[in-house]
Amino acid sequence: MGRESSKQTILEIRDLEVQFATEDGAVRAVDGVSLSIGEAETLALVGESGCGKSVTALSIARLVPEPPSRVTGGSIMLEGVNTLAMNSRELRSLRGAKVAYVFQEPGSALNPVFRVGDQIGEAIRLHRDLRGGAVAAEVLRLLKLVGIPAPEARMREYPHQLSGGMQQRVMIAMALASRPRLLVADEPTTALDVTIQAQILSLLLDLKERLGMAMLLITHNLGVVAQVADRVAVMYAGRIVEEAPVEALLRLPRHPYTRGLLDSIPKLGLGAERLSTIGGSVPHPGEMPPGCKFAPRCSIARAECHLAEPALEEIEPGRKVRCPFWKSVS
Amino acid sequence: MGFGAYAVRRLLYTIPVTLGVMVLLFLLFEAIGGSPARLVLGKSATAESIAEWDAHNGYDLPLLISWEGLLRERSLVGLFDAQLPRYLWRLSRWDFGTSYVTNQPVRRMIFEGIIPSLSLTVPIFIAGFLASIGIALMCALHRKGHLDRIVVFLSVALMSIPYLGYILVGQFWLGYAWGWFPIWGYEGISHLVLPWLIGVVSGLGGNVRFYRTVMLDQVRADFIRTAFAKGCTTRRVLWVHLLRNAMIPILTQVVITIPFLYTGSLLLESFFGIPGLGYIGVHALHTGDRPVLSALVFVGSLLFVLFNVLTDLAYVWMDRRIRLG
Ligand SMILES: Nc1ncnc2c1ncn2[C@@H]1O[C@H](COP(=O)(O)OP(=O)(O)OP(=O)(O)O)[C@@H](O)[C@H]1O
Ligand SMILES: [Mg+2]
Repeated sequence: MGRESSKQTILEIRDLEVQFATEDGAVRAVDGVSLSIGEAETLALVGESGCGKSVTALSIARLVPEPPSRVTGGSIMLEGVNTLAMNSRELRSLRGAKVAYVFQEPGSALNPVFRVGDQIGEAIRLHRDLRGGAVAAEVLRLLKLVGIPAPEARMREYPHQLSGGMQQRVMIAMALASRPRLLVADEPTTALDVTIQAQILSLLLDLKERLGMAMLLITHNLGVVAQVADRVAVMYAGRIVEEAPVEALLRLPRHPYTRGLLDSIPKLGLGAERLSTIGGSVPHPGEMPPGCKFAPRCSIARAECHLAEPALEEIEPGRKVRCPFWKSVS
Repeated sequence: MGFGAYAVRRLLYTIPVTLGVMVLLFLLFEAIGGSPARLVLGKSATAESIAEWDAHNGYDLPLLISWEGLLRERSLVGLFDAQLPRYLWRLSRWDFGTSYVTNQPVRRMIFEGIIPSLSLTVPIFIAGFLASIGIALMCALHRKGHLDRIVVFLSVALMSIPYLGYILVGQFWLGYAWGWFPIWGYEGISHLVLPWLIGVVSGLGGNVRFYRTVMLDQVRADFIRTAFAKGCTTRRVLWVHLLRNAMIPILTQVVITIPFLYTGSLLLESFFGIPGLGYIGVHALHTGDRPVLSALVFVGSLLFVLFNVLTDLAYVWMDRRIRLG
């Protein structure tokens, strides 16, 4: 606790609730999520596909299309200001300026018909008072910062002329255009070749250190988490089920779902056949079980788990678990 | 290959295509039709006067090439003393002959008809294009909302009314019953407003539906989310990021309709008494005025070939992902 409170809090999400209007009625994609990120801290958000990681992250700058989505509760304080209460003008001066995003597929996240230099330049013009040659100089500086070779030539190219790794570097350069306080990276390496993934990750880490940004890193990959994050929050079916400092969580997971996730990482020396996966699948948002959402797939579930949903409990300073039987998880 | 080289190659490619069009025109209008002497001279023409007319107009020559000419002239030039080579030579000098009906040079008739036609169709084209784009962008912004649904409903409704229906309703109510617009003649802007209106409204439904589909396709794209995430205004996202991408499929469809602007609108010109090329064409068809018809078809084909190339070039120019080869 002491370590955290000495640093300023950049992002504080409290009881966030986001619903989607669908054909079968309203679906709650994010249900009472609370998260906080301190200055220069990296929080990893992990969980299976569809558990609400992207919706949570996009909600910070209100980037989930409304409709079909609607924020039905909670608050998101970014440097002390509630972004959920912002009007569209305030949101525009927040997006790309205080909080910037790097997305999963750089190939489709960049606009195919504009030169990459112009796309970075646009981000600069939107939030800074640079014009003309100063913008071009800044584009060059950013391209160098993200390690793109021959930036003078690269800036005049179109996205399709770059490799996936280079495209993601361009996205990162664009995100850094106005020195954001918080960088949200939504599975920034998932779409890339394995060899490139490590490069992009270490670039992100390095930039975060140098620029003193806070980072929200979304990933399915706990291997990535170990490398990059300070703290981890595990999401399941729209909820946080466990939150802990990274070493503690990897060493001793306290939620059965986290345990399952860790067991499904391939380890060196073990054959793939030894790899266990979590049986069953994520409940459909329309058919949530009444009790613990993970109970139907849980190996240690008891009768009461199916009746009432457990609360997220603080079991030691900085460590929260949504499972009353966390002591039996090993 | 660079864009310039590609453009030159595509433009050169139009030469053989145009030549093919000219040969086809010759076969359709001259070879199959035979001599029009009887039509021109009337029923009372004698065999001598017909032969004389044929000789004077070159219809007594061989069709494709002239072996006699080769023997007579003792040079290759003689070989071309036939109907086809002469026809090609005339067309390539924009010499379309004289109308059988009005006895005027066809070239002048076309030049005089093209102004009324374009003054009718070009404003319809531009206004219709801009209106459809604007409405489709609005739909993209409010997709699945009330406005979007209303627009889709109206588009289908507009599409299901036949063209003649627009003309009759417009002429009867707006022109005759309420007296807002003149309904006949070509004397100034006031005579064009009603046909413009009808042209734009009748085309709106189909265009809006097509553009809307394209825009909705694009608005879901990841780069739109990126643009919002950078802090762009909605207007900037729509008019810069979305439109620039949507223009690729839209332009390829729209540019190729431009040649048809020149033929005017057959129905509008006939119903409103506008002396454009549509009107002239219908008249020529009724009277069998072959030089006028073949000239209209020739110019139309040339424009079509040209705009086909322009479509290709525009497409490549706008979408840099296309590899040239
Ligand atoms: N446009 C939408 N319409 C309806 N429901 C949606 C929409 N987008 C997301 N959802 C709902 O929100 C839930 C969470 O989606 P989200 O994209 O946040 O998942 P995620 O954890 O990021 O998954 P992934 O790892 O696949 O990116 C989905 O399961 C889905 O039910
Ligand atoms: Mg996601």
